[in-house]
Amino acid sequence: MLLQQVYNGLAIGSIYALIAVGITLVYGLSRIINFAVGELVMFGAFTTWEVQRLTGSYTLGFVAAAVVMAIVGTLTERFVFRFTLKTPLTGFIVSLGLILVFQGLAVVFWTANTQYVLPPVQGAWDLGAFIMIKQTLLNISIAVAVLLVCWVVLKRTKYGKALRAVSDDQGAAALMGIPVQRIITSAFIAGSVLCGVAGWLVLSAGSISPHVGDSYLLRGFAVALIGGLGSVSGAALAGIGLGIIESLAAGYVSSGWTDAYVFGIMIAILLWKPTGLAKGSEGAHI
Amino acid sequence: MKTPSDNTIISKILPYLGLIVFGGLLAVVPYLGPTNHVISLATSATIFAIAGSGLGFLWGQSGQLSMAHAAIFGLGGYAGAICLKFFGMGFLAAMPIAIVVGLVAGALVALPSLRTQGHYFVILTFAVGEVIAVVEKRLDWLTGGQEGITAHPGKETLFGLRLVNRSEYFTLTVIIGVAVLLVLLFMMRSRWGTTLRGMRENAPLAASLGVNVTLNRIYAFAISGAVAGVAGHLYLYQMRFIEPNLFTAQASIIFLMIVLLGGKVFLLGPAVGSFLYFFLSEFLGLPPVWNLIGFGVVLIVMILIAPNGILSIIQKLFSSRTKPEPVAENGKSDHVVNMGSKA
Repeated sequence: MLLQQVYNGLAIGSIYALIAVGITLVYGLSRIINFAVGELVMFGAFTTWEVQRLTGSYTLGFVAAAVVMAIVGTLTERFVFRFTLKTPLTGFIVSLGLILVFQGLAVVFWTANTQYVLPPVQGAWDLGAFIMIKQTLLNISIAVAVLLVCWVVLKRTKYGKALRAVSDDQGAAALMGIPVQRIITSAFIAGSVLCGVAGWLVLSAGSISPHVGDSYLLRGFAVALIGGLGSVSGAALAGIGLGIIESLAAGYVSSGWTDAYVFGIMIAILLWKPTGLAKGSEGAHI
Repeated sequence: MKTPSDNTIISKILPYLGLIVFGGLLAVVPYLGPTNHVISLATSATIFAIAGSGLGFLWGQSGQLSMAHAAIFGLGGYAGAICLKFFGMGFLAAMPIAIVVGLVAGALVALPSLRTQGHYFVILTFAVGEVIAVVEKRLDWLTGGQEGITAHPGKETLFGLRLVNRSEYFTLTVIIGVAVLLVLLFMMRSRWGTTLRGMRENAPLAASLGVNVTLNRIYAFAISGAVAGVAGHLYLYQMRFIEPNLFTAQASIIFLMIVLLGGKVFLLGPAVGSFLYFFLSEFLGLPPVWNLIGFGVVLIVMILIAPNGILSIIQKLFSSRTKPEPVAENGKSDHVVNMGSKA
């Protein structure tokens, strides 16, 4: 029972971690809180679903979700968020408007009904201590792989160095010849792609609807804030931690109240450590 | 209300009189024979205008944005519904309770602002709203869970107006709305209003001048919460039922849009925004989904081109026609003058 809950928690937590890392990347570079990430997750899920219906392949769906979200990320940055870089609170309000637009468009395309889907991989191994569903194992592996790639890119490549430089001090970065605007755009793209991948993972729950992103939105932010906005490793760890706590609370106490636990924990942690647990900051340590 | 440069009694009283006359004109509209649908729409618009004014006061005057406003609005409604269900308390009897619930909830939402700031605080208020929604959904014995609570006004009357009659209920809503706006106007024009605006422009500077920023912020939240409580209570008797899904994060976004559309620093901004929101969608006759998309676009365009709302555009047009635009030292100073309390 305990192992089972922890394992389930890992599976949910890996989705949270992906979304939170996307949020944190965008915030770290632009100081913009993009609340439309829940809808990006939803679009990722629906893109996968559409491609899978057309071609029968979830692998193609994965690629499509990533590509489509990269395009969405580029477009929203270029045509909306770029105008709000100087006043981040405006960026936040704009993202609320985007929620209405994206959610409405999703209802237009796919109706408000819940669509039932088969998870990409079926079956499970009974390990005695707990049942390991193949799909969730795949989810965890994908999340870990993607987060590792993020980490390597950030810490070990020239691009990552430029990204961290822009996050620390845009002016100085520009003086060093770093194309600041392009780096910021790339952060929006990366953030959107992470949400798209998270959307693919969400499919494993077996059903999607235009409102599927709502619960992930606030959880993603809870995780990003607990981890400390701007901290990628903080977001990854807090995501997994919150997933496990949520799963344990659902298993041992009551599943109807999980939202209250999650947000209650977040509020409590932020009152205790106002800038998050990791070396978080309103400033940035990517 | 334009420029109270001369401090005569008339210029002090004029805005109040204007509000009362405007409210009086609005209150008799139902007797000119619009359809029930229009009256019901106008009632909702008035209620959202009241709640929006609470948020507008908080955001426009003290500079704090709360995304828990819809949740507090809902709490006001739930307070009334629970009073009716368990104690048989009617509209008037439960109104003070709804106000107090909103007041306390507003003050409680303000508490995290002592520790957190900026984005962290706004997202915290979102989370507070979610927690309230979960409680409403799960505390079945008290709130009726997902099904909610039904509330029928019965035969109650107030000022001789029957609550059960749609037209008379609209008039009652307008009366209460005008009363709320009068109180808010008084607060904006008081010394305290100036203090709040000072905190909005520069909190550390205000603190250095001896302003208790923390306490004043909590007061502002409490006032905005109380206004939301009144509106929520009105909404209960308009809808005649209450359920948690009416007060989700999406409702908070709608409030934000209403305030932004009209102009957050103007007393009548949220009211203008609310009537536009309700009647524009009706006028265009689009399916609800396209309305939502449309308002999302409007929200984005508004904040980018006119962050102080439609009224600021009108004000600019008006002032440039009557006299050359005064040179403001920064973009914000003109709406301080507009409140009429800089002197």
